[in-house]
Amino acid sequence: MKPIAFIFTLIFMVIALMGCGTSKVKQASCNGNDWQALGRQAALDAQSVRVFDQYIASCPSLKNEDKKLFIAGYRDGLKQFCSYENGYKIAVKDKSDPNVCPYELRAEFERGYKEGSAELMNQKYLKQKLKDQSEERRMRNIDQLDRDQNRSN
Amino acid sequence: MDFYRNTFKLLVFYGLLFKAMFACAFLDEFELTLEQPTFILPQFTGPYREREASIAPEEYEMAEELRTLLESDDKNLVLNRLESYYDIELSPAMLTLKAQVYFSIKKFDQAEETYLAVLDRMPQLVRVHSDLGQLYLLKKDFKKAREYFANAVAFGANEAMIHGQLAYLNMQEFGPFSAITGYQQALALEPNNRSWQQGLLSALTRAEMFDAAEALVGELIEKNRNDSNLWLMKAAISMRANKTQHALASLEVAIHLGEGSQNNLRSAAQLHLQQGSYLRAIQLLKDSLELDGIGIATVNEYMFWLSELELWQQADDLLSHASSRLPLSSSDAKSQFHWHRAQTFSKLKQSEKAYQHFQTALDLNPNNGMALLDFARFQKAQDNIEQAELLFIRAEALDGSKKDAILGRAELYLSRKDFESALIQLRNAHLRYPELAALKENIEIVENIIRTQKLNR
Repeated sequence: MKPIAFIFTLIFMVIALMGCGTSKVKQASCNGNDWQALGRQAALDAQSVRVFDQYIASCPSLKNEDKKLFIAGYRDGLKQFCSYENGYKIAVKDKSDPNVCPYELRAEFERGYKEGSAELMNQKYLKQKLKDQSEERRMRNIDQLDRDQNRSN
Repeated sequence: MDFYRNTFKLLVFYGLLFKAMFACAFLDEFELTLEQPTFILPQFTGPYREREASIAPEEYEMAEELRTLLESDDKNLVLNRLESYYDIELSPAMLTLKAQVYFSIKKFDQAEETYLAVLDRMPQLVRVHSDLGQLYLLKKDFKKAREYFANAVAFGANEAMIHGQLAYLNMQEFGPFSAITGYQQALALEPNNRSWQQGLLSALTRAEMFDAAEALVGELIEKNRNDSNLWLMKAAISMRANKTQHALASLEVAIHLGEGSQNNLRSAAQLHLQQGSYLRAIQLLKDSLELDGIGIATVNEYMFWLSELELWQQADDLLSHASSRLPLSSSDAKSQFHWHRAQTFSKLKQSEKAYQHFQTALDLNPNNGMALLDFARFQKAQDNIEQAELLFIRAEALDGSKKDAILGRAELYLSRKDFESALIQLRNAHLRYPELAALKENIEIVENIIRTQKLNR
């Protein structure tokens, strides 16, 4: 490997590893945040409410009121997030169930997720079938070519 | 006398009503005693239902653990466990349990906040509405309590307690008609519950539905003829319906069955006084003076009634009975008692005894304004004018007796035809108490007399 390629590979790996170590929480400053909006966004991003623990850890000046706002926003965000449509979308994109929906909102989301998963499986099955058919066709063609060649010989 | 009779009637009625209608703790001072809470730990019931909460499947294990902790009454550990979660991570059922634990350990603000968080997620949870109703009752926020009980009923709650409490709150806020149905429903669910019986009776009485109230109390008495409280209720209803004879008869049955509160003995005595059965009245008053906590204020009140009816012999009898029994601790109370005795002896023309008691009253409390005034009048009647004058002068120095003392002295001077001195007193009184309209006229009369006297000289 050339040295320049090695350096790029190294940088890429470091960045990738850093990505694994941090959560998806948007780092915001501790003061002047719209905690409600942050909470809401966390829910819409399918993050666990535990994401707030990171604010607690890094913001000593955090007030109880901030937490309440965050949770209120998060709760509102979940009401929007935990829908049939989002469950379906997430499943179809082959993403795992984020398990953030509270019990009373879970049923619709899970119904969507289940149907999305079924749809995904269907798509995968079709793709596989197409792939198999194409492979079969290719093999048939190769056989045909072989037979033609043998005949001409 | 009419005024006296009306006031008297009202006093009797309210006295009875107070005792009878608000006899139970719930209705009386609205003092709820927190019982050991019964935790209803919800089970995982599979399909989600709108009006009830069930725990999430993944909470089943925790629920079992919490059940054990609750059984061993370790509420703090339960709370620690529940507080380790963000509320949104708990199912509404678990969150309700958390609110209930807060409620049971009297952390009312946290309980309220948590209940409201549950309702934000599941607005139709009947149990939470009724729990919030109870919570607001304890916090004495009756408006909100009513609102949440009403919600609970609207969402299908059918517990007697909720109907009954809603009825009570309706009665406070909207009057008796809004309470009658609630009490009836509560009574239909718990026919033997005393609170609902009394509540319904109270509502019917306040709504002036006396026939219905009498029928109800009659039915209750049929079932339990020895319940003195029911007889008291019957008395209160009769009183309200202006049937004083019936009221007194019921009250006497209640007393015969053991009812012996001061309020009721005194009410019965008042009714007997009104009907002229003085012997029984005095006996009841004597009985009431035997009770604990009776003080000089009660004696003052009884003496006021008896003096209004000029029953001096009975007053003497009562005071003699009381003299050895009343725990009069302060010298002021003792002074007042001797003043009553003196006054009674004075009216009974037993001057020597009256004199002694007046003296004792003033020895015990030289600032007993009423004793000073009555002693002055007594001395005046005995023709001890100088003594009377001195006593009036002493009474003038006291705020409570100043006005009567000034006028008393004026009268004293007039009686001995010392018009100049009388005029000074009258002018003094007019200056201090311009609202006494007759004074001006009296001053003019005395001035005329003085003028005439001067002309005649």
